[in-house]
Amino acid sequence: MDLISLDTLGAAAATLFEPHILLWCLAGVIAGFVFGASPGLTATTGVAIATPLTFGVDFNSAMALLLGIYASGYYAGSIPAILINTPGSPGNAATALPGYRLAQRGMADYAIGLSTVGSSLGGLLSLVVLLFFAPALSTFALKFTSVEYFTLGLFGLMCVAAVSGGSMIKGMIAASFGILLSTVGIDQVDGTTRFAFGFPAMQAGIPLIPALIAFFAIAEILSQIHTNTSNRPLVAQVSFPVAGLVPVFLRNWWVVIQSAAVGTFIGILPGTGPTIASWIAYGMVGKGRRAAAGGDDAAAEHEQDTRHLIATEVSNNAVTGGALVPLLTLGIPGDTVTAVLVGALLIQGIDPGPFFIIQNTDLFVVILGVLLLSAILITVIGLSARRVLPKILAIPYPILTPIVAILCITGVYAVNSSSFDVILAVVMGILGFLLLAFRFPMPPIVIGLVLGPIIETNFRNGLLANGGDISVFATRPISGSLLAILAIILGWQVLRSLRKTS
Amino acid sequence: MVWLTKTRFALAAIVALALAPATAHAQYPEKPVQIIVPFGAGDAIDGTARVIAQLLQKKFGVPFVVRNTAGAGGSVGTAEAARAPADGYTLLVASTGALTARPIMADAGYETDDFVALAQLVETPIAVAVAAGSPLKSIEDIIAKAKDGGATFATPGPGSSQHVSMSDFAASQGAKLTHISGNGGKGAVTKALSGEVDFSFVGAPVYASLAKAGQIRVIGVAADQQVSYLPDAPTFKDQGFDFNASVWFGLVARKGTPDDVLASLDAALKEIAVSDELKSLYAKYSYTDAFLDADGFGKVIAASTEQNKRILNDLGLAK
Repeated sequence: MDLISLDTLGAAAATLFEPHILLWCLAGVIAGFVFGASPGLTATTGVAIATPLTFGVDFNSAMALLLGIYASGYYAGSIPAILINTPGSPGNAATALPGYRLAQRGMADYAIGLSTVGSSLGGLLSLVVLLFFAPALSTFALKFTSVEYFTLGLFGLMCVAAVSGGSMIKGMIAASFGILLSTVGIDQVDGTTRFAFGFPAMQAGIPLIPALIAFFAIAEILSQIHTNTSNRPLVAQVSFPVAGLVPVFLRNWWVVIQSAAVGTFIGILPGTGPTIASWIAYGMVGKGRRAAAGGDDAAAEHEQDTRHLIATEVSNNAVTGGALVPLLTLGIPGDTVTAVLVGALLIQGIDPGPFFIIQNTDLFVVILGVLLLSAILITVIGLSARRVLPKILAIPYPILTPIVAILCITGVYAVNSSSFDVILAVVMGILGFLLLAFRFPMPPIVIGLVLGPIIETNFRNGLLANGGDISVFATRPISGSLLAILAIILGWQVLRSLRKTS
Repeated sequence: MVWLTKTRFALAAIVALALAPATAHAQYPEKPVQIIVPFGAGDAIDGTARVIAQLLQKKFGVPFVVRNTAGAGGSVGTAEAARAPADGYTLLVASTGALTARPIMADAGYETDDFVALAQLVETPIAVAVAAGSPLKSIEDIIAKAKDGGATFATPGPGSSQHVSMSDFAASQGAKLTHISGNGGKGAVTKALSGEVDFSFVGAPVYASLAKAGQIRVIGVAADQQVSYLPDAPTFKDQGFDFNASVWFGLVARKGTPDDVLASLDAALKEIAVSDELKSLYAKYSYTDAFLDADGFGKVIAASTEQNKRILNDLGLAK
């Protein structure tokens, strides 16, 4: 893949591989690593904080720094997700499922290897799309009105099936609970305050990152205390050679392509981002051949976790290239980081818009080159840190657990500097612990929370914009096709389960 | 239980920090000042705040720290600022909607007069735009369409100044519009571009590059004069409508802040307003300087509140 990019970038390579650009990019990748891996801090925060630092520097250096943070921030959140079941950023929540399972089986080294290589591949593949198809795809985002966003949201809910674990019914209940949580706060359609119970801070709704930390990390910590993990022996971590990763990726090449396509596509759509992309990619891998293999055999489970981890990490990094498409062709950011990048480009005297690629081809190539450079640096840094990081799991639980708890709480506070969020997260964590005790899966709650507003506001906006005519959801081509696919999948599932029971 | 104790400790520490006592001041400021921005990092309002914070910090020699407390169209951060002690160590960058419309629409956790004006910083005119292929060519066309079968428009959000002022304009023309939230200015423009709505009504600078590329047509700027970055866009006035609308950001402090503190901030801001540094920083971000001192900004806030009260009551959006 990268051969094509390298070839095209030949001309710009000379300027790009100047030592100071390399250093800026390295600084960005390292900063992104810290922001991505710290729960509560995200790539968006990192880019926003670094933007004023680019006042005095030239375009190339500024982009090297900011895009380095961007790419590496989307990747690094997978590391705490794998090691301590605490996604560093919302986009890595889906990674926590297969990643933490692998780490608990002593495969943390392997999991981080997968995540590192997967992230780089995702970034590179989306780069190819950006390079060759950006102008062609520029109007693609405009085909999506509220109607299409609604059906896409419904489609996303499908992945609940993949993350429900044992009971589909419990998964659906958990997802509904998540959607219910998402209705808290000021309604985006007509401005009504809902379920705020008199707390001014609740007007903003249930914030995603605190909810994520609560349902994943705090609930997990509480159940560890409940089951008294302090007596549990530590899992011995096995190291895994880098060369061993190659056949794994070759074997799963289709998962890589499919997830990169999902990530890039979601990235192009404004108002979405890595969180949604990674869950959909996870869902699309499905339950795979685990059932077909017939056995409950550990190898099948290992292979399944491998595929899911590749899917989530490839897709969330593929969002980067996708999100730059509408930014550089229309001036409309594709996700929250690119929204901040608009400000950074303005500082450089560039108003991103329809003329950007035509008038500033050289700068466009620089952006592509810097993204390529970031992908390479992520691989190098990730693979070298991979040996050291799993050492965290050698810390006994009575010491590790409180440290993680403190990290979680400070992370929750850091999001909005709000002590109310901390209280909210603790309450949700306790709630999550209770639900966990009744074997309700946590991921559907978070999926409901993410997709709830997309489904609800776009359904209502779609009706408003079309004079209350509900048939638009079926008659608009993209929306209609998505609904048809959805109906076929659901029908097939029902048929299959009927056949199984009879 | 280890965890609970730790959490409680962390909570206590956080609460203690938040409630750090306001010690009697000898010479303001004697400790870092925080500026609350009720929107996320990276927004125009955030950029403005960071420019001002940088210059105030230089002036006073203590850190002026920008803190982003986003949510609910600015209400959450504004409510946070309203709860802070009135000692001048917590300032707020107020925005039109959050400060003067939201408290009229709901129990936001604060009232407009919980704050006193320090300085208006930036003001931006709002403008109407349609997709390049739209049959609507003028404000007249929009009104005609609204009367004949209805028209839809997108703004950054329900209850935003954009939403409120356009609804008022339509009502004054005897027309009614259907509002769709764009969930942000760029989102609203996207809805106009994709043809989902008939037109968008957001801050004029948002349109600049799309208008230049001919993908969008700006057909009415709600200001007295044309704006330089949209040379082809007529004003409402050019088309015979007396209608102006804008959004502004400005610095405010809690009501009850000691007079000497307000006076030293006022003096510093006046000095900053005329500095070349401010001009060059604003130019870099393409912000339009619209500095008004405490008195001037106070009048703007009062006028905006009065107008919103009337319009929101007429629209049935008041609480």
